[in-house]
Amino acid sequence: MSTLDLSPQVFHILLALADGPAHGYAIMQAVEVETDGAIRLGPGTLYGAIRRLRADGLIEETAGDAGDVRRCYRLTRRGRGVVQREARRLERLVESARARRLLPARGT
Amino acid sequence: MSARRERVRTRTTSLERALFGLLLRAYPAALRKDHASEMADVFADMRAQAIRGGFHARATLWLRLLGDTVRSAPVEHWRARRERAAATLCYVPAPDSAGAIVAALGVFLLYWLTLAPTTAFWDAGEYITVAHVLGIPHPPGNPLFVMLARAWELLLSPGGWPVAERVNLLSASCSALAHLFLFLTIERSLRPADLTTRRIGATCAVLLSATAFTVWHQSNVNEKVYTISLLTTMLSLWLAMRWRDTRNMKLLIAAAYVTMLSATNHLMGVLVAPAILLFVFSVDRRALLSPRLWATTLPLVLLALSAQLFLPVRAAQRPVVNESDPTCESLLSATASIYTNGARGCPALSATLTREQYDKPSLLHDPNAPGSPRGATLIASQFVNYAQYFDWQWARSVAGKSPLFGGARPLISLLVLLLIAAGARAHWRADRPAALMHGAALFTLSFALVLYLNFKWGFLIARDAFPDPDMHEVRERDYFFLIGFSLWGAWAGLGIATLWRRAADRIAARMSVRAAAPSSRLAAAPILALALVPLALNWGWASRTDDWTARDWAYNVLMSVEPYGVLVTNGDNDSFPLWYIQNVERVREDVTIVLTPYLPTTWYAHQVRDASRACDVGVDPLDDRTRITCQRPFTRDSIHPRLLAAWGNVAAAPPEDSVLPFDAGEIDLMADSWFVAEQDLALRFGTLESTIARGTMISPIDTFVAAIVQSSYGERPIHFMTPSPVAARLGLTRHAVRVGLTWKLREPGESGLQEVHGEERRTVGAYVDVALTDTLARDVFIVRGRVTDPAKPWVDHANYSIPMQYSLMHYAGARAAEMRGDRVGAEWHVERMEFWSGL
Repeated sequence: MSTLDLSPQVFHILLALADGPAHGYAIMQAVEVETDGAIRLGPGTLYGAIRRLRADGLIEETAGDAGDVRRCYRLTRRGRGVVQREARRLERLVESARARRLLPARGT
Repeated sequence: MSARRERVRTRTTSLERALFGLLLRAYPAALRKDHASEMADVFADMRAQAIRGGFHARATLWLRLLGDTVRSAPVEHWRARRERAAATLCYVPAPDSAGAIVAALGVFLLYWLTLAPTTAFWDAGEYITVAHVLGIPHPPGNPLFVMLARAWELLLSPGGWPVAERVNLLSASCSALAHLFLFLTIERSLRPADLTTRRIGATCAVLLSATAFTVWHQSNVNEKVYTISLLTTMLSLWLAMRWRDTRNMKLLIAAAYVTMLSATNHLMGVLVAPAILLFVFSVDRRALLSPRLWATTLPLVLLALSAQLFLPVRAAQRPVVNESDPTCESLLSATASIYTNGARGCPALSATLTREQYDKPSLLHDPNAPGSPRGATLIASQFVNYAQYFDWQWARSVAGKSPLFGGARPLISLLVLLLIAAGARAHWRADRPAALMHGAALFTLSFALVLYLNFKWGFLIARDAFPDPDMHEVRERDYFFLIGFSLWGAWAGLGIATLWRRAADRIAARMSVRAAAPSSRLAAAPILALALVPLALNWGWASRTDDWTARDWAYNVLMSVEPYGVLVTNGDNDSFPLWYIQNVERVREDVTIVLTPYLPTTWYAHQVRDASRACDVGVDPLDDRTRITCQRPFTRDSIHPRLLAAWGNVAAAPPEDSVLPFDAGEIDLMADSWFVAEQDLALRFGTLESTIARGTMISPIDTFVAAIVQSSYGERPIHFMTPSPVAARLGLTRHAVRVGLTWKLREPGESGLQEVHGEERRTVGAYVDVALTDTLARDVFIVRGRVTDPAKPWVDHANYSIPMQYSLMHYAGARAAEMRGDRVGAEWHVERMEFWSGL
């Protein structure tokens, strides 16, 4: 999966895992908070994406916190690289928008 | 109260979990297997949070879950399908194109080396003629063949080959191309075997298929249109195989299009459809439910069938061969006829498409006794007939003159059956769906076809029990089963390759080398020589090299007819070669050929009338030789000077009237005239008197011929092919003069004839024109090529009547010479008679 294939939902799932391993519901909540409710993942969408991210090697299953029986996921190295590249791409887009005064300058 | 509330809460929780479980069922099984429990946990967390928010929050939660399911479940199903396809496509084998091309070129070379240089008997003359003049052959009209053959003929015209040879090359090319696809299909089935094994297997399959007698004998001349059907069948099978590898729906659609297009050549090509459907069902039945497949295929099928529109369009232009005349009043009625397969719309076109003229009996009825049920004995005989043809395929030259299970040939056929069984088994083990497809096609194109065709007794079958020739087929019909024999051959070839492989493995084991070692394979190679058996044992009988017999027969018959003569013929072999030589080689275009079996169809009577009528001033019938215009002129160019002298060097003038100067109403009446002569009927044709014997059944044919004689006697020479049942019924035999290969009605004041007496008159004729017959036999007739070589067999026993005609002519010449005391002449004729009788 290249950076060009990342949908907003998938990007935010990867972003949510950038802080550390999380289970499905936690990812769901993190995405909702991060986007101020603009992206609200359902179980079908979430786990469809998790399945593909696992098949593409961007995330992997990991042990959860002690006592937590739920399956947790974390970014792989490849996944971290993908989300970083996507973040830089978005950053360049934002800089482009700032240069055209579509967005306020930094610090304003 | 709290206990009750607790129970309600528990039930609600269970109900909502069950409802979520139902929503989960909407997702693909693979996703559920991996993540169902997690999704249930997430649901539990979401629900717990929603409960705190009250009824509104819970309702929002369910709406969100429903929305998520509706959006994501179809996407996951689509993704799962792609994953499955990708798993299948992780390796798409590349076809062995090089091997296939080499195999096809080899097959083409074989057919080219044994190609007929000109027309042949039966339908070859008709098909070569219609290809050249863009005519319409007998029903169902074969429009695809006509268009293809004409384009092909024009394409090859810069090569300088004669027309007939070009059209024969079409047959050879179609068959060779068919074997290219057969090679690819078999080669693919044999994976994952190594390349050598696959190539050997496919080559053996192609070899046995291409050299099967009927396949070979139909591929080196264009006698029928079934080599095109063979091509489309093999192409469709290959497209189906390729679809399985690539799952590219376009290939299945292409197979459907090719199959339906083939229907406009002949319905034979459609018979592969059940096999392909079965294959697709066995590989992925859901493909058959694809809306895209049906939505795309249906319009293409309609497009394919539109090729039938050629028939009414060309018929309206009145081509010189325009059988059944499928002219329509409007495009709409023609279209209705095509797309309802003759159930509605233009009557003439419908009659052509449904082959109404042949009045095929129903499957349940005896073709010899319409209305009577088709008995087990007849059905058994039809399969015996098929077995007879199967027996011909592998060793035709073994006891070749015994076409009914002669000599050791059945033993060879039994061996081939064993090879077929081995090949079928190997195919099944290597590639079950492909073997199923191959077997289904075989079943449809052999056993089911026997049942569908419902033939009369075979040409040679039960002749003693049923001596009446009308109860038998008029010729051998092996050509109908051409595609089936090709498929049998393919399995037999696979059987040989399987034997080779097993032998190689055993040798390898004894030599303690690996199974695929070249040394062991080479040691077992002699087994592969079995694949050459049909090539060797069929060559002498399948080859048409140097076979000018039919063409020269046509030339000799037409030269026997005096200028502007009418020639009354009996059937295919004394008509179609004549059509060819008149319309393609432009020999004796002045002769009016009257093919008696066609007379009761009014369309033919109209065409005979119009083709023989005098030309209007300023109209030249040679301006467009492809169409019926008017009487074509006699030209002296191609006539031997001695024949011109024997005719008296007269400048023949075109007749002033048609041979059938009647209007449509009168022709319709004649076409419907059946009666039995209740007493002797005296007829008078000019100065000729004849008698129809009491009790004679007079049919429309007799009425038409009588009308022709009545209208033309004295204006045109009237000739009959011999023997002539219609001349006998009309009592004209006593006026018959043997002239070359024909009988001519004696003309007023004609002299110099040798009268024949007694029973001989029935076969020789009442008179012999010795001068003309001798000139024709010695100086004019052409007899060359294969037929002059006593080592080469007369292949088709069903047209032994042809050499018998020559023999009869020489018998007449010998008797006439004897009566005149010409011993040398008589000896010469006897020697020629014995030559022809000995074929």
